[in-house]
Amino acid sequence: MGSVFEKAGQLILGKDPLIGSILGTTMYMAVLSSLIAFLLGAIIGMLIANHNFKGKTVVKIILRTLMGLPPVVVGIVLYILFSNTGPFGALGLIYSVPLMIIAQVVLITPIAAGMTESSVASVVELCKPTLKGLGLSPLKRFGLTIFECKYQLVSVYLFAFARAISEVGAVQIVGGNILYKTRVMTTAIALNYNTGDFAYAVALGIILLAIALAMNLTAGILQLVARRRHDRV
Amino acid sequence: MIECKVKKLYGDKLALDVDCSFEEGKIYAIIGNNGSGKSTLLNVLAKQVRYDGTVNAPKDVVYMTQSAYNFDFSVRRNVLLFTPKKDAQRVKEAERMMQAIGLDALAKKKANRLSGGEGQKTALVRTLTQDAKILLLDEPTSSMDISSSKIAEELIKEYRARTNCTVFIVTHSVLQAETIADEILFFDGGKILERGKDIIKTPSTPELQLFLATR
Repeated sequence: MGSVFEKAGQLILGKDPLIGSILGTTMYMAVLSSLIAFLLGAIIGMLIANHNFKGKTVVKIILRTLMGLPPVVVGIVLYILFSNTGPFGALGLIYSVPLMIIAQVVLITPIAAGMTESSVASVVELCKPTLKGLGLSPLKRFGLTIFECKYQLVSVYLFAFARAISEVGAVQIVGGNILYKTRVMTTAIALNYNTGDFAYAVALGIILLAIALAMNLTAGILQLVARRRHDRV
Repeated sequence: MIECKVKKLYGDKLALDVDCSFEEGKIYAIIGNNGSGKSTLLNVLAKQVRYDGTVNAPKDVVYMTQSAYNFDFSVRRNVLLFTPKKDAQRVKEAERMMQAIGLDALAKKKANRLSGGEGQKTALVRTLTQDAKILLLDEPTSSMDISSSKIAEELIKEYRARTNCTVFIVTHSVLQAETIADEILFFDGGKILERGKDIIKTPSTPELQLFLATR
């Protein structure tokens, strides 16, 4: 066990030549894909929560089903679509970071949308009559509703990021785990497990957790500062 | 003239069935038991629900709902949320109303952490800073103490005098209805059973007599 932490320490201190590339690709992919998925998901979730329409229950059921999309299936479908013989093969995206991002967005958007819808529904229900009663334009109402749901939305983003940074199935298939190109933390962990280098795999896992912890701590501190600032207004 | 010929059902239950008109610039107090159609009339006038029939009314409607919501801002910011900062006259007017109803001391506090009555005062003053041709107030003073309630009534009257808008105020206080209104509407089973200035003093239907007897 000691060697695991020793290895993790060496990785963090930059003594491993590969870690910079893996970490950089991981963060680039995770931040970009989680941001895109969050923006799309939050808009979809807010729209569903904000409007009553025929078939809303059906839409919610479909959304919740999509939240359980198996990453490997998404990976295979995208692989078929984007491989050289596939309909989008000419784009040359197979085994590239952009396709890994697309896979992540496909996987995470329904999760972000579903989480947004369920976490903001009660707030929307409370403030909607007042917003409508004040005779505001739909855009202003939407903006104020987003503001009122800011803490819930931060939680949704953090979850989206956590999901993006820890996903392995789809990115392995469409990215191909190519060193210095598409290798990310999770695919590197899987590779080291397969080659029997458990210490290296667990060390990478510790770094992954540390990143998630840092993200959550930053978000927590930002929320605290924002609340205190607001209290003083 | 505001004209209203509306039928509204919630499932099988008749919530509202009215064919009436209202003079512009007057204050109408709406009384009646729970579920008698008072709030439904306001929802119809505010076009917040679908209904069968027609409503001929000005479009500028401001509606303070029963459970008025205060945003995650200070009291002052909540009140001035929709008032242009450059409009010094309106800002001054809002500040005067805040002071009159006792909100000036709470101006910097978070509005969504106030007591029910204080929150209601904030929502009311915010509502009264808006321009409207029709002002709809659903139990705007239900959580306020008696003295604040009286001040609120004065502010509503001042607002009507300033804007010449038509005010509909739902209330469970017969005294408030008598004090504030030019005309009182008594609702029962979704219908206006009686209306007039003196229906409290001279109720003609057994339903209103029973309603007043239980007050």
